[in-house]
Amino acid sequence: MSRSRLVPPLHLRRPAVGLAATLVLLTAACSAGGYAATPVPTPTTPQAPAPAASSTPAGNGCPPPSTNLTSYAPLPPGATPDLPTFPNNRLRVGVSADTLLLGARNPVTTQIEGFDIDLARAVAKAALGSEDKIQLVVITAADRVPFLTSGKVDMVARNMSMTCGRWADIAFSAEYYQAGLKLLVAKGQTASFAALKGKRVCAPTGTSTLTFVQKQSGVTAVGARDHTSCLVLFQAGKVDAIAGDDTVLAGLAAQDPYASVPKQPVLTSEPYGLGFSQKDRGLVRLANRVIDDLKSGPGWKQLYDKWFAGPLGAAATPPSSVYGR
Amino acid sequence: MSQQTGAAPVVVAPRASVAPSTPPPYGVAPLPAVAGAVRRRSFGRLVSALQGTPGRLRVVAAVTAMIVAVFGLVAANTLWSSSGALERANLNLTQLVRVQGIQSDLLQADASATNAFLVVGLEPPAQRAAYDAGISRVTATIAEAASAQPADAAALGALNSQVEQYTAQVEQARALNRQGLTVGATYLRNASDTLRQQGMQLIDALRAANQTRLDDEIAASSSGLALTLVGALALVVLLLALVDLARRTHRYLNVPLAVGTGLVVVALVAGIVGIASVRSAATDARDGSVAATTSLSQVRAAAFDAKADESLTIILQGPAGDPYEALWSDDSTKKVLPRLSTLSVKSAATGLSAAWQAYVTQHQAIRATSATGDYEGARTAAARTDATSANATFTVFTTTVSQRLQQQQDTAGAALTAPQTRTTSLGWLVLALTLVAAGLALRGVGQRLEEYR
Repeated sequence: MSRSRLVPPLHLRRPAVGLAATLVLLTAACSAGGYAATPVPTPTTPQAPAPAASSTPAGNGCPPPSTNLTSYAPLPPGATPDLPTFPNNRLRVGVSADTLLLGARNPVTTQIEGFDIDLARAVAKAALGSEDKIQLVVITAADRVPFLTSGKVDMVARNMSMTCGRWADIAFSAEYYQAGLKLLVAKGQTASFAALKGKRVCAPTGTSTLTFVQKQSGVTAVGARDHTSCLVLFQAGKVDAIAGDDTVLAGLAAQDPYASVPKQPVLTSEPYGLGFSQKDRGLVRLANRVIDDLKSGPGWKQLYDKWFAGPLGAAATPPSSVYGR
Repeated sequence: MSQQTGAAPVVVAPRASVAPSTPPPYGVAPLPAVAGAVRRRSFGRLVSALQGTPGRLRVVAAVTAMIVAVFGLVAANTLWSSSGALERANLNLTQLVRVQGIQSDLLQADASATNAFLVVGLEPPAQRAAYDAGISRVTATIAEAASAQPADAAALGALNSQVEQYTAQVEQARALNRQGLTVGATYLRNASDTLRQQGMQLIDALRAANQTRLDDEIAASSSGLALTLVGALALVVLLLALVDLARRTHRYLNVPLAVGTGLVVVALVAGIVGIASVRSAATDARDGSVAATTSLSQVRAAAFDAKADESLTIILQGPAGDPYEALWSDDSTKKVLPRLSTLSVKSAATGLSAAWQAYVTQHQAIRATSATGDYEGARTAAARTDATSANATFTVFTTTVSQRLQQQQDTAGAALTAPQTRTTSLGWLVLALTLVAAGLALRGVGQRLEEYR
């Protein structure tokens, strides 16, 4: 290999090969065209983003008597909301484009759709008069808090759990859905951390779910860009289970007949809230008005039936709103 | 040269003309048992042949003829090597262009797939055809490149397996997409990410290796140091021999030796001029069409990279796409435009910057639409294919770049090939001249030796 040559090796086809051989000895400096092999770079496997520090900070955003579920009182019906100015007169909403059922791009229509998207449209209608005055900004789970604090979006509707840690940085609406953390495993497997000892469990980077998995003994936590990337790793046999909210896992299992979310106790309860900047309290109060109206009317049940009734079963009751912050 | 074969077991009859003072034992074939004695006697004859004025003349003859012959061989070899180096430089350039072609085709295929899947939705047949054509060219070129340069085989093998994984993942993504499954888009993004990280690492290694080989061969083609030094040494020896002969024989000029010296001067000048003309041709090519070829290849690759980034900014809708816009901007302002404005062959860049600007204008219009929050408008604009669309202006640019690239590569090939035949022939001529000169040196000294019979 080290003496390999480009073809055709014309310089060797001269009649005076013997002569040339003598010459090589005489003029050792003359090169003959032997090339060192091209170095093959060691493939650096594209790491799933390092399962780094969770976005859940140590700070406690729930001074008593507030809890993680406590939000600001909803705007009274008919009152004028105190709203920030929206660039281009559109509500910029951070959403997921690959969480089936909650917020995912329909590959055929290219539209992003799901429970979270419909809810965001309802808030846009209340704030700006039309469901279409909305700008869906695709973000990752890790982007949710930074995009709000830096003002890149006005609202996040991306299955975000309300935690006191996050309350330290951002504001939440009232709880609009109660999900539960569960495990997705291969068909026929038992879904529990005890049964998964020594196995790899995937969760999106920057989520409270990944932090939860990292705290479990005996399993290896694997971070990925998002839940769908976890499904890709699962299908490639690089992880053995996926931890996530039952809503999200239902969307994943719907795409793979060999994956299942068997009956299992809920590991943690995940209350979903819409995320806002702490400065936009008026917008939070308007969103709470929208959420309360949906919960008290047929709206919430219609949304549930549209997205979750199939994979998750009959409608539960909507979670009740808690105010007093 | 000399008449004796000092160490040979069989004593060969020496020619009377050059060994008059030592009559040899004719026709005696020594027995193996006495070979040592014969060797000693042969050595004794050699010593006596080199003694006195005739002996000194024999040494002069041997040394001048040998140095002239060595010069001839060195000069011819230098010229042949130079010609060979040009040939290899051309082949290395071809390989470099192949590697850069693989890069462009891969990025083009990826840009088509990304655009088709995620921007347009249900894959349009034309985009699918563009992807298929790109991948076909890639696999064909990898095979061709591996057979052309075995030193690249390992890296190309690794690249081939990357391409296989990539196409497999894209096919899986395509199948999932047609079932309306979201995970298809993630397969595509993973495939694209892996290709653009690991695949491009391999291509960078291949490009660097072939660029180095090309530069080395161009440098090697015009190194005439050995030729000049040995030629100068031969001339010095010849002149000393002329002076020595004149002094010993009281004749002003030994004509054959003087003619031989003249031939060596001619050979030396021809060799130096030949190498200098190769150097000038190779340097011109290196700084002209060769540089233009590699620059245009890089421009084309950067353009396709930018186009794929454009699709990603659309897909990611908003600030999440900003990093890709930054990459797009890098490609445009740090790679495409500077390389076009500093292209070594100005004529090859004519109109290209304007063509790129036409696309940039369309791209910026898409970005402006996106910045107002009208993502659907941006998506529609990015999917358009009419004459003023981003897609069409981009195609005009890349098509023109490809044509210019082909022209420059042809020019570079011609420039590197042109001096080859001339230089090879010159090598033979120089060898012939010096061999004649060596013969003349022997003859010239031989004439003087005749006088000592």
